[in-house]
Amino acid sequence: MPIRKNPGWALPDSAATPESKFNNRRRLLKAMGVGSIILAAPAVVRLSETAVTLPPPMAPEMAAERAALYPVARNPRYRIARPLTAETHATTYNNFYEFGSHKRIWQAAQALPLSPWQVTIDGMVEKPLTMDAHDLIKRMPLEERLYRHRCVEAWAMTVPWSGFPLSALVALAQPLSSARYLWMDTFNNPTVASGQKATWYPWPYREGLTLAEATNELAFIATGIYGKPMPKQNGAPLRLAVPWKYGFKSVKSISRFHFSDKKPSTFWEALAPREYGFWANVNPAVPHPRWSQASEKLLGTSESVPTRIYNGYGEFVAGLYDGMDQKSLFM
Amino acid sequence: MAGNKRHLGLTLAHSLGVIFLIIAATAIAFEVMPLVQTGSYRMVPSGELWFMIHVGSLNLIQAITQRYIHPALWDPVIATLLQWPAWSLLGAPGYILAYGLPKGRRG
Repeated sequence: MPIRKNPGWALPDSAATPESKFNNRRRLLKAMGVGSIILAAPAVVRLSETAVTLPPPMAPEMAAERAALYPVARNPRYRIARPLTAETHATTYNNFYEFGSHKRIWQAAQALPLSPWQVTIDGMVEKPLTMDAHDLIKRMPLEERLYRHRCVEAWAMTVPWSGFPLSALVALAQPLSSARYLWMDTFNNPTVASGQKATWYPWPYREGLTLAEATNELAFIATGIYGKPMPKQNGAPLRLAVPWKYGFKSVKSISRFHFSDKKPSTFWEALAPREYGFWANVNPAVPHPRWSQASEKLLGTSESVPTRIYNGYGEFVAGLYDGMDQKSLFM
Repeated sequence: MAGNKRHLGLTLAHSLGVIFLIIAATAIAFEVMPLVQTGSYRMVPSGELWFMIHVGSLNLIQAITQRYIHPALWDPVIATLLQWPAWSLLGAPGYILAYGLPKGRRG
């Protein structure tokens, strides 16, 4: 008697799809296609509704009080050899990942409400505190500094920041002797910053410095620009300015300063550690994995100039990194 | 020659469909396992799955779309799709590509 052994792929006749159902398959696929279009329709409709929803305007007295702080006296110690970038370029060509990664971010950022804006200082400090950003700014020694700003995308600008040394905030916070790092977090408000609806990203945007970096004289909290209060797209009400590092380190719209003995997991380092590391000091000899960092395009011009190590601020900061692994300092 | 190209195209489409279905099945597993273990259900959005699989490409494609095509194509269109459950976003096209297209010429 022949022994019949079914191959692995064989199915009994009973498993065959009936002809009527097989023919209905195309109808099912059509229905799925229509269903997809219907489900996507709200997004497609919203495509034409890209206007930004503005928050209620700041009370006129509050806006006037903010504006009255500026301009502030320029600190002549921080000189630049380049012309200042035109204000229109510096305030309309911005990165602000909470609102997306395109270059019309300055419009989208207008949705950010600035008042009230609470700032928390906590972690390893003598006395944690929370206060309104404007009250904090009023307590700080304001000055203007001309700084170069070097974006990791190989463009650069030169701007007059108004603000105060970060060391003044560190002094206010009175960190414990065990604190080693200063973490800085931006806001977390997906209702106005649509990028934050992508919950899989590690929001809020976090950056950090060692305490030695944070108390270096160059580290600056900018609260204004061009002698005026900081525009939203540039990081109002408080943003970091560390000009020897790539721009993504200069976190915008800070709502929390946290002192810790642990190195923070920073936003971009969490996403792409080989491209945007914790240190991120400017170095023309260390290329980004996808482009050169040897030169930089000056914003608003067609001019490119050679990039300098530590963005030309080596005399102020190179000593911070003596004895450290030089390879990782520039990624 | 044209027949060979068509066969190759269909084979690639079928393969892509199978890959989509495998990822969709993985996404279902990501949702079902916690449900079985803890009794709580959490939907895994497509964006989260993409983030887990290859965050670099997610970030790069967003930048390319917003900077070189149109900002609104990413947000709200693609951003909305990325909020959908991964199994639904990949399962439907995966099924269509794997089973909805005519079979390629055999051997």
